[in-house]
Amino acid sequence: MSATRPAVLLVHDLRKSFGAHLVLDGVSLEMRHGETVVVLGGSGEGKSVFLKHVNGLLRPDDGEVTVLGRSVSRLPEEELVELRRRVSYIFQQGALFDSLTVGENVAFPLREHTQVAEAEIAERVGALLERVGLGGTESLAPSELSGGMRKRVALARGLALEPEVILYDEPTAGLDPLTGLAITALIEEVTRTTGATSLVVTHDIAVATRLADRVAFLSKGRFGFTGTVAEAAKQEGPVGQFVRAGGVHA
Amino acid sequence: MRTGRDCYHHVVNVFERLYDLTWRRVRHLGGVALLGRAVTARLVTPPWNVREIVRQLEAMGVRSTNLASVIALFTGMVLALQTAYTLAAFGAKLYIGEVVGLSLIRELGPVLTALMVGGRVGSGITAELGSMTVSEQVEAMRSLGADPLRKLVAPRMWALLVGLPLLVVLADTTGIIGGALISTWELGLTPGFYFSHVLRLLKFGDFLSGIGKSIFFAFAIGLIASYNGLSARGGADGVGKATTDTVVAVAITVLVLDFFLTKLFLAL
Ligand SMILES: Nc1ncnc2c1ncn2[C@@H]1O[C@H](COP(=O)(O)OP(=O)(O)O)[C@@H](O)[C@H]1O
Ligand SMILES: [Mg+2]
Repeated sequence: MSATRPAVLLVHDLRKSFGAHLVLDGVSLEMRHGETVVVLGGSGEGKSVFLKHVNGLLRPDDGEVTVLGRSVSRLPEEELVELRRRVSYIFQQGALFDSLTVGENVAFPLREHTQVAEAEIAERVGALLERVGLGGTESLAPSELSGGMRKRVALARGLALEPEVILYDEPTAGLDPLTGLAITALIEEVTRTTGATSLVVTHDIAVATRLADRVAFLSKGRFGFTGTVAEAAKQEGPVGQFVRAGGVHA
Repeated sequence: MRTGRDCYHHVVNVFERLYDLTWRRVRHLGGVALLGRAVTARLVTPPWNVREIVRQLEAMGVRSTNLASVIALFTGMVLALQTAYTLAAFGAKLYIGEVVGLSLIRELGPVLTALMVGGRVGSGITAELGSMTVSEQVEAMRSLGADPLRKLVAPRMWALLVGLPLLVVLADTTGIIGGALISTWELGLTPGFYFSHVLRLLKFGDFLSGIGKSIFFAFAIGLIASYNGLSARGGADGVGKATTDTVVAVAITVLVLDFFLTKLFLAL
């Protein structure tokens, strides 16, 4: 931890089980301001479960999660609201509200948390959709969108309150390679322009090579490895195998 | 071949399963109770999203009016026929108005309406909230700093709490008219005679007890349906299973609750 800048995110010895099924078995991670960490791991290893602890969607059985100086694991749900305005979560399938239009989805956080007039909301929604490459789609229903478009709308909704931390759950999963690449490029652009601290969970090595300052490898409920992608590729055992299988070689 | 040891394990297994099942039910009940407390807090405190309540009321209530009135109409007609037939020896024709009016208003109006509307509206709520839950929309709502209980559950509960009693009034009225049709067409009574008998023994308390029941039913239906929707897991199967659970649980709960409420209201 740098002396001048406290860690934006601190996870210490996080443990979580569902019934008898142990998912997280002592996960620790520390992130500095503006850093991008990519959590790699096979499916079902607990990547989403980990990410959901960071903004308090799930509660740990044991351990500490501190984000932007607030103890997420201890705050009651009502007090998490303030923190969640500053931390966006981009869900794997977008999780757009089916009953609302694209425009209303993007306007949702603005209506919920600001007193901005309707005319200005419309303007901001237009600009946000423009920014993710979907200008003029306000009146579409989520069901009319492709997978890639849903992720773009979800990102626009997640950017509405200008978050300091952005959590991405499998941003490229279920997309064709070209769309995946376009989404990765969009995230890269968003990270650069907002300076947000980004935590990305994925099993897509291409995402890690393009975005990660560091990668953490989740396996058997722990981060078995933390370091750069190049270092990961040099590792023996599952970490190296996983990264090399994704086409990255030391 | 079965040895004593096998039998022993078999018995232990059965007990473990029973224990699991019982424990699941208890946890279920605990979950519903906790949800009930959390939802009640949001029902009675502002802000109320009146537009959403009206939208829900329209979606569930207005479309249930046909169902509720058809059921009540035929129930009233059958009640009149059965009364005339089974009590013929006692000169029951004269009392058809009383029997139809009291049974509908105290019992059958609220219960049948709750059973039918509860199954229909309750399963709708579970399906809707369930598909939002499994597609992470409920978590998305929380992650955007909004409260799903206030935004999703409370308006549906309010719509039920307002809509079900209104449907019961409609059902009572239609049922009594059904009785009138049979009394005049089949049994040769005059409408005036029938209606005066409907009103003769009826007290305002009877009406209140029926409406009171329907408010309890509405609360139970909304709570069960929301709980099952919000705890749906997996994909479309999970939602389907939750929806079926709601239909069954609503039917059982309405009938059991009706017994206890009847005892309670008779004691008052
Ligand atoms: N709410 C839950 N209840 C029970 N088990 C869960 C829940 N959420 C996740 N799990 C289990 O935890 C494990 C990890 O899930 P997840 O984090 O979604 O994996 P992934 O790494 O693919 O994102 C899986 O086995 C999953 O079944
Ligand atoms: Mg996942």
